[in-house]
Order: sequence, then C-alpha cells, then structure tokens
Amino acid sequence: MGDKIFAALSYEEAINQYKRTVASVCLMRLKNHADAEDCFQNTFFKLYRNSPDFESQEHLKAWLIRVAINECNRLLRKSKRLLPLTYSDKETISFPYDKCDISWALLMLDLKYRQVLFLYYVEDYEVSQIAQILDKNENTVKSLLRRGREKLKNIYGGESYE
Amino acid sequence: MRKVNFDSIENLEIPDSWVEKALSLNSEPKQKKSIFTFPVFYRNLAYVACFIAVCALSVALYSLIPRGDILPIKHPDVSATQNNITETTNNDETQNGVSQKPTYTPSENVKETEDDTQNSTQDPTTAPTTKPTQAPKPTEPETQPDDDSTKPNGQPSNPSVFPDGPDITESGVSIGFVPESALCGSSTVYCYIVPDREGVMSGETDPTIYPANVIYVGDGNVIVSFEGYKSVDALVSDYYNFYFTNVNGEIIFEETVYVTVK
Repeated sequence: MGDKIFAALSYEEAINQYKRTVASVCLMRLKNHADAEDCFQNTFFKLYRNSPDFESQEHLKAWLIRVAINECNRLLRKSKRLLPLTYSDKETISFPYDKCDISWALLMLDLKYRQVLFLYYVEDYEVSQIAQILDKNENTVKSLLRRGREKLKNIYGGESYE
Repeated sequence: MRKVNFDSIENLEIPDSWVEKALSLNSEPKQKKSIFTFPVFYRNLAYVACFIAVCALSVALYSLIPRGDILPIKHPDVSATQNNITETTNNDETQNGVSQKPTYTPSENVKETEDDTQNSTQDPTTAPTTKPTQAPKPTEPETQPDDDSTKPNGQPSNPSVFPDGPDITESGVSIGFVPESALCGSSTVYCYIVPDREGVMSGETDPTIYPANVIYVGDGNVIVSFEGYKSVDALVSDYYNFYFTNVNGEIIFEETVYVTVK
C-alpha cells in the first residue's frame, strides 16, 4: 500500500500496531468518542505527512503518544472557547463497573493524574519515560502518581495499590 | 509491582471506521499530488535540455545565414598557383636565358618578344599548366613582328582609341557578370590575367601573366585589384583573359574582357 517506512514498519502496520495505544490516550484524555476520533485521525495524519525518522519502534510509540496528547490538548483548548448546546450531545466513554477493573475509576480522576496513571499502568512506561513524554520533571511524575493512586483509592474504595 | 487491572482499557475496541480513515491517507492524496507536482530533478533537467536546444538551434541558424558578399582578400605573394604558372611559363624563357620575373617590363619585353617569335611555334603551350586548354592562345608570329618593330615596348601609342571597356585604374578592374556560384563556392579565389592574342593587336608576343587580387562585390561583379603588384604599370589597353582560380590552381571561371588603360 504505502511506501513510507516508520521504524521498519509500513504505515498500515504502524496503525494496526499502535491504534489501540493512540485511541486509549485520546479516550482517556477526552472521554468521548467523537473528539477521540478526531485526535486519532490527526495523530496518524501527522505521522504520514511529516514522516519523521525513528530510531526504534519504542521511539515511534512515544512519538505517537506525544502527538496524541498534543492533539487532545489542542482540542481541549479549542473546546473551552465553545459553548456546548447540551452536554448530552457528546457520546461519553463508559466502562463497565467491575470490581476487578478500575478503568471506570480512572476516568473519574483529574486529567493530570489520569494521563500519568494511564501511561504507567496501561502502557507500562517508566517514570523517566513518562517524564520525557509529558515533558515534566521525574519528581513531578512521581508526585502525580502517588496522589493519583490515593485519589483512585478513594474513588474505588479499595486498598492502596503499588 | 503493578497489580491494578485496566483490562477494559487495554482491550479497548477500536471502531473500524477510525482505522479505515487513517489508512485512506496513504493512497488518495498521493495520486492527486502526482498530477500537479513535478519533481525538482526533472524540472531542472527540463531547463538544461531547453538551454541546450536553444544553443543548438542558434548554431544551426548561424550556419544557415548567408555570409557576406566580400571574399577574403588574398595576396598571392607568388603562391602555389602563381608559382606553377610562372614556372611553366618561364621554363622556355629560362632556356633562352630570359629573366624569370613575372612582371612585365619594357626592357624584358624586347627580349621576350624576340624569343617568343622563335619559340611560339615550337612550344605553343605557354599558358598556365592549371588549365592548358583554357590558357591563352599562342600568338601569331606572322603578324607580331610588324607591331613589335613599331612598338618595342608592347604598348600602343594611343590606348584611348580602343573601344570602351572597364578601365584599369590603381584600384583595379571591375569585371561584371561573374557567376556568383562560380566564386562563392571557393573560400579563396586568385586571379591572373593574360592578354588575349586573338584580340586587338597590342604589341605583345608572349602570354605574360599578371597576378591580381579578387574582391567580390556581389551581383556578379568582381573587382580585380592589382594592388601590391607592379605589373599594372605594364598593362596596355587590350583584350585580356581573366582566369579565376582556387587555392589549388584550378580555374573555376574565366572571362575575356577588353580593358582600357587610362
């Protein structure tokens, strides 16, 4: 299909491999499907248009997450200037209430905690990597993780997790 | 130690429409862009090709443009053609102890006429070897001695009585009706003139050759210039054969013209 190569992956292979990661970042951040889809498309459009050189697939993944976060931030800044007619027009994301799955509780957190916890627990990034992706200090990331866990515990009502 | 279960996020279902839209970026715009964009390399190559084509066209046009009408002026300075002529014509003279100078002087003329009257019947081919058949005809010795006795210098006493013709001046003789094709084909044209013995009696008994320059002025007109040659002083009003030769001494055109010396 395409002749562009991204870290030994074609464009189609890159989409299939990282579509879940990019979609999760967008949904966790925006919490609705319509906006998440826009950011999802914009993220891969930038990948195709810019065609940056990646040293490895990990580099590609981090780049996609960073771009997806930027796209979400841009959309959020834009949405602040808009006045929605009704809140119910947006199809919000929802997860089943399950004692074993605390994804729904993650959505209750503030954005700054949510994205750190998501990258740490879902994407399995280290603190240093999260700090690099989010362009924050490592200690800041650690503080956000600690406070996020406490808030998550309060929301979930269970015991604290490491 | 990460014990938190985020299975619903990790197993998030991505709608197919999301992926299809993202994949459509890879094919559709590319074909449209190929229509309107032209690679820089080929664009520069096209510029270079146009430049070369213009240069080639200009060179081709330059070669097709006709040159000027003026032929290059060449002073034969006893060139190969002239050397051949003088050698052949003076072979007999040297045998008779006559000077080999091609110029025609009255003092030499007396000796030459005497010798020629004897040699004319023996060796009539005293014309240039480049074209023996076209060379001046041998003189008639029966009629010459009378004139020589009266005009030892070979010049008529009153040249102005002869019919009108082109005048020999210091700038030369203007000869008309020379075919352009005959002279323009040669890059360098030489000329020599020989008195025509069958013409009006001039007192000459030998076919003396006078080298000259040729200036082609177009429209079939040629100026035969004697600039640089003293032989013009020895010319008399008479019929002359004008021989135009190329570098190799081959006669490319000849014309018999009566010229008047003033």
